[in-house]
Amino acid sequence: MKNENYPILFDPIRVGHLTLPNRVIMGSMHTGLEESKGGMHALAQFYAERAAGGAALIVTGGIAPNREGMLGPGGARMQRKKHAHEHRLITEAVHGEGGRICMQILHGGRYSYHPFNVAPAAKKAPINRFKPRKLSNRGVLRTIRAFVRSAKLAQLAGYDGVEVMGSEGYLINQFLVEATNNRSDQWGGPYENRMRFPIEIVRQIREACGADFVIMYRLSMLDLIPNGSSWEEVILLAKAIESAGANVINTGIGWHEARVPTIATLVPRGHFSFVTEKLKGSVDIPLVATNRFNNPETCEKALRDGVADLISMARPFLADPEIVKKSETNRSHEINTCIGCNQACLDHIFKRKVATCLVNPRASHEATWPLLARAVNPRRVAVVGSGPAGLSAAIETARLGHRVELFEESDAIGGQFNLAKRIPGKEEFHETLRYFQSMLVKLQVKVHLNHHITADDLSIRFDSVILATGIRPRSWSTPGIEGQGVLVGYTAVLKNEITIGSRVAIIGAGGIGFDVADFLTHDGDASFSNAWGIDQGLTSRGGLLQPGTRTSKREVHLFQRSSGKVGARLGKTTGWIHRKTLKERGVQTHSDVKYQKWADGWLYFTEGDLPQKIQIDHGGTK
Amino acid sequence: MEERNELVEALNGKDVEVHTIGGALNSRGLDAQRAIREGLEAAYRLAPWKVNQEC
Repeated sequence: MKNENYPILFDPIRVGHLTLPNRVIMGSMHTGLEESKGGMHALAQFYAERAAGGAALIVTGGIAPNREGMLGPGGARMQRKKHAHEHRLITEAVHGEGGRICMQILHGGRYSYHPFNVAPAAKKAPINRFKPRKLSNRGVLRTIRAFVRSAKLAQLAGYDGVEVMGSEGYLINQFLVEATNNRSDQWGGPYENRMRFPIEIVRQIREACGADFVIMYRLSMLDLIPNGSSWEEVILLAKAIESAGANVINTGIGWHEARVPTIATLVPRGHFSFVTEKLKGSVDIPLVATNRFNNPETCEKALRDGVADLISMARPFLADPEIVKKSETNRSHEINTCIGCNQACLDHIFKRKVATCLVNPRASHEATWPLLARAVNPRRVAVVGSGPAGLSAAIETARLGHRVELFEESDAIGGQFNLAKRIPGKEEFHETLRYFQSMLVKLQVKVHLNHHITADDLSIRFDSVILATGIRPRSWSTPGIEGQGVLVGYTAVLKNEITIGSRVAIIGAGGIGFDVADFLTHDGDASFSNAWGIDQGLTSRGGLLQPGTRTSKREVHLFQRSSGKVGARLGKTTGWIHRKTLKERGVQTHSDVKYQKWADGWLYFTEGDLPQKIQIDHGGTK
Repeated sequence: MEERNELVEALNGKDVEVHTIGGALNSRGLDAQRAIREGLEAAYRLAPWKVNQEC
């Protein structure tokens, strides 16, 4: 019977020898558990929970075919039989839940962060300090054999197939593009030679693993680097990969070194599906659309519009392992939606920490906080404050079986979320609030708004109290500024409670300072593609155009007392986006600042040892 | 920013178990990630629990 809400999303599809019950693939995500002690057990639990949650097909994080291809020292490999035996834990756990799983084979090439890295040419990546060694002809052949051996071992481990990682700027991608492949042998020069490497990998894996083994190929359809692949080359490669034996083609968007956001919150939902759509009809095997799909509605629309045959979501499965099951059973309002922040997933990976999720800290730690846990002796629990901490405490405490009441002094739940959702590009926080609201109702948490509760009341009526009363902004002042009507708090600014002038000083350049600067200067931005120079017509190599100009009517200054780069503490994977955006809008940053006074409309300060003054209409507090 | 935690002192000595989390516990470097994680941790810290396989 067709699903009433999402008929195409839950329409089964054949991929190779598998019949998938729906169109949702859990895309590859490195979690860091791959290299952790006891990580295989944790990974098995992690993937099993997502298989039980309805993912039609799971793709593991990237596993290197050999030592040279490891992403970092000690990186996960599928190179020997012992590796295959270790992975059995994962495949058995997933199959035990009725799921299906492919192992991604990923060779980092010049992105591999260690001194043994190799590439088609000895050209260092801009995001790596290790210069790669150029592969010899024998080295190329040996690497192809390593991919094939890895696939055979994955089959031995019980995987239903492999995904060959051919995008995001990793080794295979490096062979395809002249910018990283200046060889003159059979692996370089004309495109027919440059694409020989992936074709041989896919052809030989098919030959070695037989027909009943899925080969998914992740094809870089939009490199977003100068002199990247042309669209004609993308089509040529897709056809050749299909002929070589692939069962399904997944979409890759942007090399890691690209200076265009591809998965951050500010990327509109499903934005890059136009790329996959353009390839439709060029090949007969299913195509997978990806990047910034995070809810069933966007997936269903893309499928209905004929953009692709399947949708891949990765981070949304961190945020909610049951995203598919909830969509299927008319509970999409209970989905804990991925907000695309990267703060606890990708940023953790770059810090060599285990990836988890900002909105779901249980991700990757399923054994520590089991979903099926229940309190032995249910208690009466009060949670005071309904910001992010209070909301999380309230629903998790209620989930454990306690009787929970939530007290909030204002007229709405959400605390700082209510400010964050007003920042351009952070609208996904609306979804987080919707999730918490739904769960409060479902878990029968009694919510008291506009309610100030006293310590006496708490101690009389409850066994336990969780205090999540939050923060108050620190006051800031400088001689002469008090009583002048120019000093305002950031909450009033974000709530549009006051009219802000055209010259603004923002005191404090942390995350909130950047958000306020973004809020005050976003008026002149063009569309996402235009602002970031994405060629939606796909006529230029790499899909890049000259970005549109960004302007702001306001003159905004961002101040920090400490020395060093302003915004240096922002997240590794998104901080550069915020810094670049504000710079292009003309926001001026000041570090190593000491404030002196405000007089006659001027803020006097020193920057380092240099005395400065700027004319301002408003200054914001931290 | 600074902690808003007047209730902590007011509840001191009362016959009730108290857990303080998020910005009320520590305003330095506060972000939603830490806040939500501390909410989860507090819930599991409250009382003995067991995994109920019948759920």
